[in-house]
Amino acid sequence: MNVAILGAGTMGTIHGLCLRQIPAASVTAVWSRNYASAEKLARTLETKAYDTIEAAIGTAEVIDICLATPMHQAAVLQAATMGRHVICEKPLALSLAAADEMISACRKAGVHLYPAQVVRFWPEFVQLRNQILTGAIGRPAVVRTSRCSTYPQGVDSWHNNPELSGGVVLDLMIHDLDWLLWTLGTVKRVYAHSLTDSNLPGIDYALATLRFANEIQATEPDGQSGEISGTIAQVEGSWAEVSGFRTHGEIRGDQGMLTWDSADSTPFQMTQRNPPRSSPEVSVPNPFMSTSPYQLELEHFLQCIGGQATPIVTAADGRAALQLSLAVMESARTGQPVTILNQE
Amino acid sequence: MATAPPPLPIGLISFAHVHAPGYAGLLATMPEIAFTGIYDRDGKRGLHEAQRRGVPFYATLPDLWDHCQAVVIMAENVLHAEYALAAANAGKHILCEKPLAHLVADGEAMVADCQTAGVVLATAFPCPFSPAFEALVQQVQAGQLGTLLALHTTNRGYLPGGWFVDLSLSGGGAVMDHTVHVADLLRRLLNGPPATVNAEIGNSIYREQWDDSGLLTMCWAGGAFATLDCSWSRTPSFPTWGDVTIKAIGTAGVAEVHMFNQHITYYPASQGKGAWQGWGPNLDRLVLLDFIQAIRDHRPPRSTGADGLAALKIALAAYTSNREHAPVTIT
Repeated sequence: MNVAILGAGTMGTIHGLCLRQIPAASVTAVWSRNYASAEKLARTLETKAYDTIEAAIGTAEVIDICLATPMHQAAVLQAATMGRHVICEKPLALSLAAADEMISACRKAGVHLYPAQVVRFWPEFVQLRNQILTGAIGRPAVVRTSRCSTYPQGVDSWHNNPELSGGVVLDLMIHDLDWLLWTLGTVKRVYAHSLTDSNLPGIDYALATLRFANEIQATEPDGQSGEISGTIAQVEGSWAEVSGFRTHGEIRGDQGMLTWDSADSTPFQMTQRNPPRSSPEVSVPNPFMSTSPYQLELEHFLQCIGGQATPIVTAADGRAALQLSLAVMESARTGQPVTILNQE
Repeated sequence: MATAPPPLPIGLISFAHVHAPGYAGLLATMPEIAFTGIYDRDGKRGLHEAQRRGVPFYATLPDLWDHCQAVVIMAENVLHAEYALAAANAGKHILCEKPLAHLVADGEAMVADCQTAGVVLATAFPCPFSPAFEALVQQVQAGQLGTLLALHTTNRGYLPGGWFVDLSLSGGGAVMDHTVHVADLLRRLLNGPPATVNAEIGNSIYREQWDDSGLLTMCWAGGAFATLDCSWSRTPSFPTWGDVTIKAIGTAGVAEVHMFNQHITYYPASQGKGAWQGWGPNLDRLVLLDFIQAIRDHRPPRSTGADGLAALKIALAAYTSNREHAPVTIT
């Protein structure tokens, strides 16, 4: 299956290297706003760089969009117009209106659209979810998640402008929000604060509290009946760290608790006495797996497009994660809880 | 050379609270203190504790007043005010377990009566004495973190059970029990109470009438915000009782306090899992030393009744917010 990569930044590079490991995939094109970057990545991937997006899309059946978030919408619409299937980095878009237009364009064109919400392929998050779904901890009651890294230094520093990236909520916290929706279902209320609009150089940070819509009326063995509250969750998204990338959290259910901490479960660490002066543009954790989660994700999407698999994450899931992220941002902006209605 | 002042005669009111045995042990062993007796409305429990500790048991409060200058109140939350008002009326200094009371009106009466009586009213908040917290305060005051922007905190614990889950004696569950410690620390770090409190509170861990979990968000007038997880969410299999943690995000850096993370880990051969055995400082001892010194020096203790009252207001605001689904303004 021929794949064209749009975007030659951190994610374009990771996707490109993963696609090279997939026997069924062939990278036929790289396009970037910056032609030199496209050429550099194309050399690494032993493929061709193109200077127009149409030409790059023209080479492939599947378009892998790893562009800056504000460029997602136009690129998806272009691919759909040309009848190409689409894999699109998260967040799908900056607004629900844009996401809806993208989803509807792909539906009308009869092409697949998959949001690259990679946490659904990350081994500990898959295992955590499996443990919950098999009842290991009973019914989830209190959840905490944290996803913390240094401030991203993307190409043209587009992350630094919340209007382009959506800030830490839409770009980083969305991973955990997606995983929580996938694992626990619908959220009914959100309350949050953030530093996204504070214009602090090199710092963005958000804390969100979620109430899920899974409250129940329970009759206990002693005959007492009463409301058992819906799951509550506190979600930390940080681009305020001085070093490193760490995810950690816990889920307490009525029958037990699960915890995770990337700092406690890394099989390899190294520090150099005289470290070379280079820093990655955007921190991406290394899971030390024989097959990277990004490769699992891309393989899965290609199988879905080929009709060989049922999608683990759909465009509707991408929209729901976006909707929840936007609710978090709205609450942070207004200082008021946001009730979420009409979730799909 | 100045001679040490004579030990201060202190009585203990009630063995209800889980912290009572710890305080009783300190009262019995600290050279600065003469442990002069125990009152407990549960006479059987009080007598038992008095006998095994070799101190008198007093069946009435006036009997206790005759033998002490100060009291430590370790009673159920809703009884704090009754005992504190009686002690103040008898001219006794008071160290009261947290929360100071379960109602603002009770807390206000305690503060006012102690003021009138000229006795010290201290709230038993050990956390301000933590060297790790003191280090954080010092770094913040020295400007090493820049401006404090956001704080991510926890005070999670085991389910305490007993009267803690009898609302007629506790006045509330996890939120009542575990909000006040960190609320007090945050007031100290941010030089005052939050302007608003928002909370989502739950009962789905234990599925009872009482709250077992709470996620609070506090917002300060200056713009800083903080969250607190005050849930009774540690399982019995968890290696330690709980925690107090503070992650502080400042313009100039990030600091983390994990207050009780000074421990060895014990792994028994036969059963169970590894358990933490703490070796950190005994903070309750520092609370008592400060209390005694405050009495001697006629100065306020590090945690006054007003501090306890301010923290209580935050816990009560959390309940209101959860009911109304809206942030509550702190007055």
